[in-house]
Amino acid sequence: MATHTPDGPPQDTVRSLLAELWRDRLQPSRPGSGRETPTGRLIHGALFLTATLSAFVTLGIVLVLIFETVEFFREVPFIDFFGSTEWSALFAEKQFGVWALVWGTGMIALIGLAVAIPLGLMAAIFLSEYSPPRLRAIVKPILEILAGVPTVVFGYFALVSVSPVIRDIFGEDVGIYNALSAGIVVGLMIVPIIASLSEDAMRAVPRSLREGAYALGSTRMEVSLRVVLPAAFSGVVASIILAASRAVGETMAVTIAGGGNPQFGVNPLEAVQTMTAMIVQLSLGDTPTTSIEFKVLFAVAMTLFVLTLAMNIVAQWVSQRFREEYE
Amino acid sequence: MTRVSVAAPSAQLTAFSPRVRIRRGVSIAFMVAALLAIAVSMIMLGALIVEIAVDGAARLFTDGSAVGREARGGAIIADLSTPDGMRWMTWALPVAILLPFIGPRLVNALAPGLPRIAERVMGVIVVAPAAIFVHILYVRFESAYYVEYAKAVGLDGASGNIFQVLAEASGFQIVRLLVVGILVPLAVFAAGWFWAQRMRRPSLIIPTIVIAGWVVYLFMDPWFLSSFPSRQPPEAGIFSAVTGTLYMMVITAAVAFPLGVGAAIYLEEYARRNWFSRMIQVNISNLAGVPSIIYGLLGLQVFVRVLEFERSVLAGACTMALLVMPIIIVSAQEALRTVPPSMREAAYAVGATRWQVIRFHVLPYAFGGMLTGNILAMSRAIGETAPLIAIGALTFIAFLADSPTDDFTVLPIQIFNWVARPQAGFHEIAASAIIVLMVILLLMNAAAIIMRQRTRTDW
Repeated sequence: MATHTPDGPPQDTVRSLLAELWRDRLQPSRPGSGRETPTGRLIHGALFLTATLSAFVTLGIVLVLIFETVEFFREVPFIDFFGSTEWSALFAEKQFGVWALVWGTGMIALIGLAVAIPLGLMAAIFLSEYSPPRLRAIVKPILEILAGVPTVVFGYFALVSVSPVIRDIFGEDVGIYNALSAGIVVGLMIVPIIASLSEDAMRAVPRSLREGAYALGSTRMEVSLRVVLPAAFSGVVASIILAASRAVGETMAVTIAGGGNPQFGVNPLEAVQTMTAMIVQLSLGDTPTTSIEFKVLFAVAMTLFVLTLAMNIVAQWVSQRFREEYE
Repeated sequence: MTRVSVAAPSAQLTAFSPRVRIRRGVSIAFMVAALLAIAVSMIMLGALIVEIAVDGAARLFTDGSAVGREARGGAIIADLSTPDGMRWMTWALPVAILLPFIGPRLVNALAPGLPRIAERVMGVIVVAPAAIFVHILYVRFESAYYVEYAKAVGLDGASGNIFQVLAEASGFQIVRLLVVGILVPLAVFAAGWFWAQRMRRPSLIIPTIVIAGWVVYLFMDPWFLSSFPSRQPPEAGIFSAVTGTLYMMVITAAVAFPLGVGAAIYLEEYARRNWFSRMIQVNISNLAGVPSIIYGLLGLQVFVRVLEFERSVLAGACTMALLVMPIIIVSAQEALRTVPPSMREAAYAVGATRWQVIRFHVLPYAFGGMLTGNILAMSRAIGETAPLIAIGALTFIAFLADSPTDDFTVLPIQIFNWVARPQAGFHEIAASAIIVLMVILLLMNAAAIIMRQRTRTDW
C-alpha cells in the first residue's frame, strides 16, 4: 500500500523513480566500502590534492622566508642581526639589530599578558565554577565578540581612547604613541582566547573531583584554585601560550598605537616598534625588491615565524604531555 | 509539656569558628573579583563600541548629501536619492522581503488545496519586486561611478543621464552593467523562487533584520557609502573600499570554500589514519597559528611576483583564501563528523559508491555546518588588514576595480590609512568606516548563527 505523506508524492513512487534514475549507477557492491568508479577515483585524486595544498602552503611560507633571509645574510653578517640592539633600517647609516624589535614585541606581549591573564583566568573560573548556565550563555558570546573585532578597530580604540587616559594619568609628557596603550588593547584582544580555552579545560575536569573537595568542607574558591585549576593546568598553560603567540603575531593595533620607534628600553610609556609593525612600515613604503630593506623584511618575518611556531608547538606539547587523565 | 527547641542546635551549627568565617569571606571576595574581571572586559568592549559610535555615527546620519554633492560637482547622474526614488524603494523593499513569507500562507489560507502551480505563480509575484529592488540598489551604487566617468569623458554631469554615459562608455563597463543589471536580478529571482518553494516553516527573523537595516539605511545619508576617498575629510567616502571588500570576499570565498571543503572531505572520508593524514592535520592546526602578516609576505612573493597578478584584487583574494583555509577545513571537518556512521553504512549497504555516499548522503547533511564555518571564516577575512598591506594594496583608490586584475583597496586598509593620519577629522571618518565594517561583521555573524540553528539536525 502506498503511504502518503502530507507534502509529497507517494513514497513508493519516489522509490521507483529513484531506482529508475539510478539503475545504471547501482551495481552489485563488493564487501566493504570504497568501491570506486573511474570518476570516483578522479574525485579522490582531486580531493587528495586539496588536502596536500595545506602542506604546500607551509612549504611555501618556509621557502619564501628562507630564500630572502639567505639573500639578506649574504649582505649583512649574522652578528649584526642577532648581536646588536640598534635598529635603523630606513636611515642612511643602517643598523639591523633585531633585538630592538624582538624586545618591542616582547614588551607589548608582556603588557598584554599582564592584562589578559588575570582577566581571562578569572573570567574562566567564574564561567566554569560560579556562573549559572543561563548567565554563561549570555556572557560567553559577548566575550567572543571581543575576539571577532578586527584588530584595526582595536588600534583605533587604543589611539583615541586608551592613550588619552594614559596621558591623563602619567602626565602630558607621555607620547600619544606608547607601548602601554598598545599592550592594553592587545591584552583585551587575547582575553577571549584565555577565557574560552581555559574554561573548556576546567569544565573537562570531572565532577567527582569537585564533589570530593566540597565533601571535605572546601569553599568554592578553594575548590576552584586548589582542585580544578591544578587539574586543568595543562589546558590553562596551553591557552596562555597560544594567547601569547597571538599577541606576538598581532599587527595592526601595535602598528597604529605602538609608534614606530625601535628601541631597547624598559619604559612602557615610550613608543616602541614590534617586528610586525616594522614589516608593515617597510611594506607601506615602495621598497624596491632588490634593496636591503626588502630583504630584511623577510629576515624579521622569519624570526617572527620561528618564534610563533615554537610557541604553538610548545602549547600543543604542554597540553598533551601534562594532561591529567581521569577515568 | 515543654516544646523541644529546634533553633538551639542549628544556632550552634551556624556559629562557625572565625577561621571558617574568614575562609568563607575570602571565597566571596574571590567571586566578586571574578565577576569584576568579566565586568572589566565587558566595560572595555562597551567603551570601544561607545567611542566608535560617538565619533562616527554622526557622519552616517546627518545630512551630508549637500557636502557630498558639492564635492562631486553638484550633479548625480541616475540618482535615486530624490524623494520619489526613495519613496519607491521604501515600499519595494518590505514587499520584496515579506512576500516570500506571507504570500504562501495567504494563498494557503484563502484557497487551501491549490495545486503547486499556484504556489509557483505566487513565487513569481514574490520575487519580482526583490529583483527590481536589487537592480535599483545597483544603479544607485553605480551612480557615483557614472559621475566620475562623466567627469572623465568630459560630459556635463548636470545634464547627463545614464544613457548618455552609456553611449560614451565602452567595453567592460557596458558588459558589467549588463551582467550585474540582468544576471543579479535573475539570481535574486531564482533564489527567491527556490526559497519560497522550499520553506516549510517560514521564519520572520531574517526579514525583520533586513527591514530594520533598511530603516537605518533610509535615515542614513548614503553619500558616505557612495563617494570616493578624498584628501578633504568632509568629502571622503568609502565607496571604493566597500566595493573592493565585496569583490575580494566573493573571490576569496570562491577560492577558499571548495579547497577547504575538499581537504576536509579527504581527511574525514578518504584518508586512512596514517602518518600522512596526521602530518596534514598537525600542519593545518599550525597554519592557523601563523601570524597573518606572514601570509601577506607569502602572497607578495607567490601571487604578486612569481605568478604576476600584480597588486590586484586577485592576489589579495588568493592570499586571504590561504589565510582562512585552516578555519574552513577545521569547521568543515567538524560538520562532517556530526554525520552519523549509520548514514554512510546504510548507503553503502544499498550499493552506493564512495563518492555517491559522500555526494548524496554525507554532504547534504553537513552542508549547513560547512556554510556556517565559511561565513565565520569570511568574517575573519573581512577584518584582516596586515596581509593586504604586505602584498601592497593601495590606500587611496578613487575608481572602481573593473576586473580582478585591477588595483584595489578594502575597508580595513582604508580605516588604517585614516587612523594613521594625524588630523582628527580623518579619525572621525575612520570611526564611521569602522561602524560600517562592524555592521557588516555583525550581519555575517548573525547569518551564521541563524544558519547554524536552522540547519542543525539532532540525531
